[in-house]
Amino acid sequence: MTFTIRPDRPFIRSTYRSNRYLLVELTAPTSRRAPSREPLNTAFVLDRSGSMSGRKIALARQAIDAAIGALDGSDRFAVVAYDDRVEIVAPSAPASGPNRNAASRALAAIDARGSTNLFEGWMRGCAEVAQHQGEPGLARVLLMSDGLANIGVTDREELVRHAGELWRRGVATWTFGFGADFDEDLMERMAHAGGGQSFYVEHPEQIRDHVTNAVGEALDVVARDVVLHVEAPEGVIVEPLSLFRHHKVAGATIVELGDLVSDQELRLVLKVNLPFGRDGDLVGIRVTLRDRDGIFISEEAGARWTYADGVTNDRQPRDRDVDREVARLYAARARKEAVQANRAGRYADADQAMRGVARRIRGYAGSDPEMNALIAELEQEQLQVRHAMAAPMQKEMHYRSSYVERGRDPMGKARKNI
Amino acid sequence: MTSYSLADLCDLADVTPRTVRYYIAQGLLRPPTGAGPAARYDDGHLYRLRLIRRLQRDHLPLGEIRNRLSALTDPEVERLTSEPAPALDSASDYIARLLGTKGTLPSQPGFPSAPAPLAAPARMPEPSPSTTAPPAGPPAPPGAPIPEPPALSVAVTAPSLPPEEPVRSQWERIVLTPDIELHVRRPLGRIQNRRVDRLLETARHILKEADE
Repeated sequence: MTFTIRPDRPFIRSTYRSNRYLLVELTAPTSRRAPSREPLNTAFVLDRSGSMSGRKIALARQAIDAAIGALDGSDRFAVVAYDDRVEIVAPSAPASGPNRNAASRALAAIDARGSTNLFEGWMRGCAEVAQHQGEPGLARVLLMSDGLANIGVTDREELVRHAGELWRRGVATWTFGFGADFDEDLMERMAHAGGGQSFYVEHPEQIRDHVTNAVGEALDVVARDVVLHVEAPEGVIVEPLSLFRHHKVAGATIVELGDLVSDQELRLVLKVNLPFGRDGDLVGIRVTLRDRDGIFISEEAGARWTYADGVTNDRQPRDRDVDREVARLYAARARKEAVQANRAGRYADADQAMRGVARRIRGYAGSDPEMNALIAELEQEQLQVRHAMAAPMQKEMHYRSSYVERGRDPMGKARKNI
Repeated sequence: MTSYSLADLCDLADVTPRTVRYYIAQGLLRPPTGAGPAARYDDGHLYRLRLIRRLQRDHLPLGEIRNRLSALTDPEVERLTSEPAPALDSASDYIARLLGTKGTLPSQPGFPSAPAPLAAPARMPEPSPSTTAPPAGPPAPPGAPIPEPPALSVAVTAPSLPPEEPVRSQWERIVLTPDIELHVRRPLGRIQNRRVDRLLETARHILKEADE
């Protein structure tokens, strides 16, 4: 188990506000094995609209079947299928052998047919999980879709808001987008607001890996509700540059890291905006790692900066590891903006997003080979975003960036230190 | 009465300056005294920002929030924000409320008005980056100090900032057969929703008979 924080630079300007970055690195401990793990209370919510027909629905059924097979009698599962109607294929039940077999048979009968009432399908899945929330364990709904919500509640902001409200009430939403036609912005924002993760499943053959991995992560949680508790003096503003929810409580900034799995490695960056002060004075912040059950005991770290004049600031050493991570995150953010603009036909804006971030990174990259390679990559991608991009390419760029922002590996899985 | 700068007000209310300016433009907050860097805000602004946040959490659209706030004095707003927020209902109750009461929301305690419709949810705009580009100038020579990376600040958790306050509706397309559809303009009230459900059930029954 490790927990460290590193600033990008040690000095700040005394004459005006400065932005500095902290790289936070932590590794979760190795889990004690079952039966001490927390049980999972889950619902698989499967899109069975007409566009899922053929291989997609078949592989999705197999994936759910395989994922249910990984559960044991201490877990609960439900299966909901939706098109313009919602069917409770298997109501929430303990994952005993007979229940799993019954669900498997019921799943086999699910075929693709109508439109997409994503909202009601998802709500029914959440209802199945919520009914048993009084029991201990993780409450997670796995929502799968290959298209756009076109029936029922379709307003994007409303769907995201409901995801957030359900998360406040203890039910997390994880989302899986299949193929080229789903709304990746919606699916990701629902998962972000809903306390979960979002995955892009480009090919039907990948469905099983993603779904079973998500369930596998749920069964491998070693620390629940992990947060960074950041205390800073008045006038210091802290927010994550990485994509994590955050809020303020009594002057402290709380960054929600979610549940961590055994041996998970997480790197994230905090952006710290510091006020001006007097040369020689110090300003510092304290970062404490906390979780629901006290797994991370007394994990605390601090960072401080010294006020100095312009010359000292300009000549100070830089932690290049931190610079690289900052550059990767800003690049990821710009890519997502470019994809959004490209999708809306605003090619000039997409071009500008990529050009701007490449220019800014060049401003501090110096001769660092990694950052220069990143700049070259951005310049290549700038050529792509100037014209209409195919939907799969948009999704690939969006999710590749999103995984970077969330500290996940290129497939969206939790990074592990094994 | 305490007086705040915009930055201090935003820090206390946990909102961005952009949010404050937007609310002023939309009539949810009165303008500050003074202008520019000398603009000053007071406790009334702070309490109203907190109440806006609480009402948004209860799904009220911004127009409805404005109507309610305009009927309240600053002391009344302060009283409401000092009362503890109502306890959160369970996920089951929340879902039952959503699925069972499409088209209406329960009244907010302490307010006299009728329940607000679900029709016009507050929209969150796409977060847009505010970039502070570095000053133009020659590139740094080798070995020279490396300039500070400028701030690219994009809110991760964007506030609710509807660009306008439309009366919103949308058409729902319900496919009955490849050749027959029903189009319904949402939102509908509860009784009309039930009528549509019955209509669909009957239509599907008739069409199924035609196929058999």
